[in-house]
Amino acid sequence: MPKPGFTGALAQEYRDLYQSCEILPQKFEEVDDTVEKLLSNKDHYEAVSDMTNAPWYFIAAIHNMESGQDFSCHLHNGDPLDARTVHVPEGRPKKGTPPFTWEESAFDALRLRGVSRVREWSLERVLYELEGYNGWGYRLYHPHVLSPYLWSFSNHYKSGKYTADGRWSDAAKSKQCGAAVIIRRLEERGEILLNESGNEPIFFYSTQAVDGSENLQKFLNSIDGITLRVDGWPGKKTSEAVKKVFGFYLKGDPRNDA
Amino acid sequence: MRRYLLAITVMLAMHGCILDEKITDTPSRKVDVPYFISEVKKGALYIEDGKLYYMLANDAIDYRVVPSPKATKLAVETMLLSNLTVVRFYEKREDGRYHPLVTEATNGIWENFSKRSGIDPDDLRYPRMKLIGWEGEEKVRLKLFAGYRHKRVEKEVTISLD
Repeated sequence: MPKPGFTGALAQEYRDLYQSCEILPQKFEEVDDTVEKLLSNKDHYEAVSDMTNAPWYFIAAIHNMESGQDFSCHLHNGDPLDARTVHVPEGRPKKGTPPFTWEESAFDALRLRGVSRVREWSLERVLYELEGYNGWGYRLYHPHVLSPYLWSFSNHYKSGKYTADGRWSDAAKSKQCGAAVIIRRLEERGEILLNESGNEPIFFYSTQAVDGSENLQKFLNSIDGITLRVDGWPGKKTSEAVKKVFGFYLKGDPRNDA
Repeated sequence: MRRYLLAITVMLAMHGCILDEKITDTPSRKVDVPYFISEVKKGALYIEDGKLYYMLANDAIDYRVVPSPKATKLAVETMLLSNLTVVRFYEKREDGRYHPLVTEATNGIWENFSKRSGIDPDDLRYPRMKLIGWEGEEKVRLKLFAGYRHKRVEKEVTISLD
């Protein structure tokens, strides 16, 4: 199966999808239950993270998708840990002596799929590696459906999946929470921080146009009593509107020092 | 000790020479040994069967090939997605190559099991078919394995290919 390259356009697609991802309200409880369980097993995932350099939440999300967080079987394929795998992929792990710990087998599975070679783990890369781990069948052969492995239980997925018999069905619907949705919920709850600069304000005071500021101005315009020109310049008037809503000027506004 | 080892070495060398002579005395003749090799390269499954070498499938992550006892058919565990493994079947035809074998029985293994068991197939999570083995040339034994509503489903079934 061919593998799509990690291009700038693909990274942008992942970023846009993640930013616009909304968890379906009727699935909140189930998503939170899944997240709670993952958090209770964080030690296991951190141990494998130390071996592979992959973030613990990436490993946790895969474990949930592959075996429902079952620590008694190989991450590879669900075979029991008391022997090497006998089904596809067979004979794993090649090194070591059975019985294997879940961590040993998980490390082997992730290394086999090239995960341990990834050096940079941005949000976009996390989503790319998750989709790649599952396989590119959705993107290559059914591009009209965003992979449920990532987006099930969100506004980005309605239906369409491979049935258990391996046939494609536009009507069939995944009933498993997607990996990106799990990560999104972990971030919403403050359990993980995907952007290193996440503690810095997104918008700054400026007398020049700044990418993305139109979104801020559009948002402010949606509030009664605020009327701004949507020009992408987060200057004096935009900053005043921010103060009206939030009680402070934009960072960098000289009136903050007064 | 050294003399002892030397003696053994000489004896083995002589024995080898004698064997060599015996082999040389045997008239040489070409023997066609049937062989079958499957290999996976970058997500594609290749078959080397006698003089034929060809790609059998390329739409999955990994494959495990198990020929029937007389190699008239192949059962291929196919990891279509990381959390979805199916068993596909192939049969050898007149051109000497294996071709997909699709019947009602092979095409809806989970579907048939779900109907019999009152399971909603949409509720299955990480469904996997695992090949247990061939029963002659026409039947295979499979294990179906999946998560189902926070429980596990495991069931062995026999599929007839005739």
